[in-house]
Amino acid sequence: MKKKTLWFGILGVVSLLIVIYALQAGMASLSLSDLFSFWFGDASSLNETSLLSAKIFTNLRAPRIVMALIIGASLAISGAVLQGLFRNPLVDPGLIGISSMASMFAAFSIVFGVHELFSASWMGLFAQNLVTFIGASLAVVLAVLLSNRNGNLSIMTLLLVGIALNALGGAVTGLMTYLSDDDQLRNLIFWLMGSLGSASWIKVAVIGAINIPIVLYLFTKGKILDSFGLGEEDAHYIGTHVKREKMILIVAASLIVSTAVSISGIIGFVGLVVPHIVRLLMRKNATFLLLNSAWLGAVLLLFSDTLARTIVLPKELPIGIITSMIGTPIFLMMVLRNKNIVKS
Amino acid sequence: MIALHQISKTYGSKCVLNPIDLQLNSGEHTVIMGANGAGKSTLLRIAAQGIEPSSGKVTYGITQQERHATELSKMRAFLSQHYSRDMNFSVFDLVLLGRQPFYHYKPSQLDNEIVIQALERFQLMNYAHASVNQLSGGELQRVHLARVYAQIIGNETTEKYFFMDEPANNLDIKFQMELFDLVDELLSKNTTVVSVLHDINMALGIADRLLFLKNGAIAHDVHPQDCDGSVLEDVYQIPFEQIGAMHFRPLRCVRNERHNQLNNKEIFSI
Repeated sequence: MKKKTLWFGILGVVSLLIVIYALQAGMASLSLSDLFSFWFGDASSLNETSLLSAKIFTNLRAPRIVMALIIGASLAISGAVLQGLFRNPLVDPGLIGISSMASMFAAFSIVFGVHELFSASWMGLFAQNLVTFIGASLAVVLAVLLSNRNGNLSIMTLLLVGIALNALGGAVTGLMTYLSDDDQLRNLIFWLMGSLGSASWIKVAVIGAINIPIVLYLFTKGKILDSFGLGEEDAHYIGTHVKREKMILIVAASLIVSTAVSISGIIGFVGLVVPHIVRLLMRKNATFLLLNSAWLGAVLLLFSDTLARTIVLPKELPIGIITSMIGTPIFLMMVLRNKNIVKS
Repeated sequence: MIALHQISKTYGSKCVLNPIDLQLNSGEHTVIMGANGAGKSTLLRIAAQGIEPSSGKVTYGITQQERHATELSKMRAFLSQHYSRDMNFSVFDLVLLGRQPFYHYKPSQLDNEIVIQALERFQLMNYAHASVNQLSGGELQRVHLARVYAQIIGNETTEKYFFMDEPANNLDIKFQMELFDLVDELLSKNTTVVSVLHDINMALGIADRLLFLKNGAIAHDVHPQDCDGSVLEDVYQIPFEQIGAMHFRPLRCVRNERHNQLNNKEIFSI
């Protein structure tokens, strides 16, 4: 109990610090009083620099922070769910082909300028996201349909279909990279390594409306995931509707990753490693794992994104680079530490 | 009471069970035996509704109802043959899984008490917070035994069904006796107990009824006392003398002897 309190305390304080840091970090710096007068008071009283800063903060930085939190939580909880369901700690959402099919569609859209088709309308803003989301969803639909046997999903087939989709996605993305010009390639690379640079309040609203309810819903599935720890047949013996729950969990976990990927591009590592870190920190039931994975995922992604956009000012790094750079040493350290615990 | 009506099972083109009609009585321990691949586990799992038969139906109780899975999970427990050690559970949490049919999101005080009772019964209290992946095979089997105990014992339904597939695996003699005590206790509460066993001596000792499967059909359905050499010769296809040399000693019914106030030492020395 004491260890748990300590853990929540530390995570809480660190989260708060990271949010505060993220709020104030960046090119545009401004004071709280300027911000309040921009929001509630007389904006005309501000000088030009402060006005610009306040606008940057309100319309670019703040939505980006919220977006990072939502996407981080989504990726991490999705990883936790799929790892529990597949009874395999090496599973991440990319494994059933979501990311690579999304890449394939995104690359296609970038190189052939699909978004330009809609450039006249408001659709132009979202065309790229929409096309990517279609790709990600297509992967989920294909994987589920092909591995369905009388309403029961075969996990092994699901993974094999995922391998096939990954190969296809990789090949087409490779081809698109080959065909692209310099600008497109740059765009493509940013997409493939992930970026939250396109965050806006509208996108936050869209992804929030889909992902937040699903993440909250997944929090209630801890008991079911625990039962899957016994294997599917024994889960059935303790009252779990195996077929139904498996379908619900896979679709829910894939959907939140699809929306995340369609907005931020591929952000590796979070879905795979965050649940691991939680698991290595404490041996607890799945509800604990789900809650803490979401929390840690959100905070980790926010931290990574803040670094990504401040570390090489005025430029920006792809966020995938940062998540891997931060995650790998933490993860390796914990694996090694855990190995020693097991030995002794 | 469980009734199997024209149950059959095929895997692909292989027929594992021919159509079987069978009634398993409450308050009786039925042991299913037979050679490898005879369909023992399949029959057990179909009776427990763990797998669906290719044809036929399974009904429960005197009123012969088909039970919904959720409803059944409150009155039926199943101890499987193999469990993975590779899970991120504490012993306590694993035993708590047995209470899942009885709570929605959070286990009640009663659920926790029953888990503790189960841990105590199988002498696992010292391990309660240990990780499952650090246990030995025998300890793991005891934890799962405690789990199914927690599932079957606490609820006061009139119908109970208990299934075991090779339950004595990895258990030392002390916990085998503990297992048989549990079976006794369940039988005294009119539970329908069905198990698959390989050890003929053990089966003769604890069964009320022996079902011998051969090529997916029930070849013999006998009381342990009527189980003679010819039955075993027919089922296992080897001369009785060889079976005798390997296995068969006319061990009396352990349970009855315990009831007859024989002390443990004498039972073991038989």
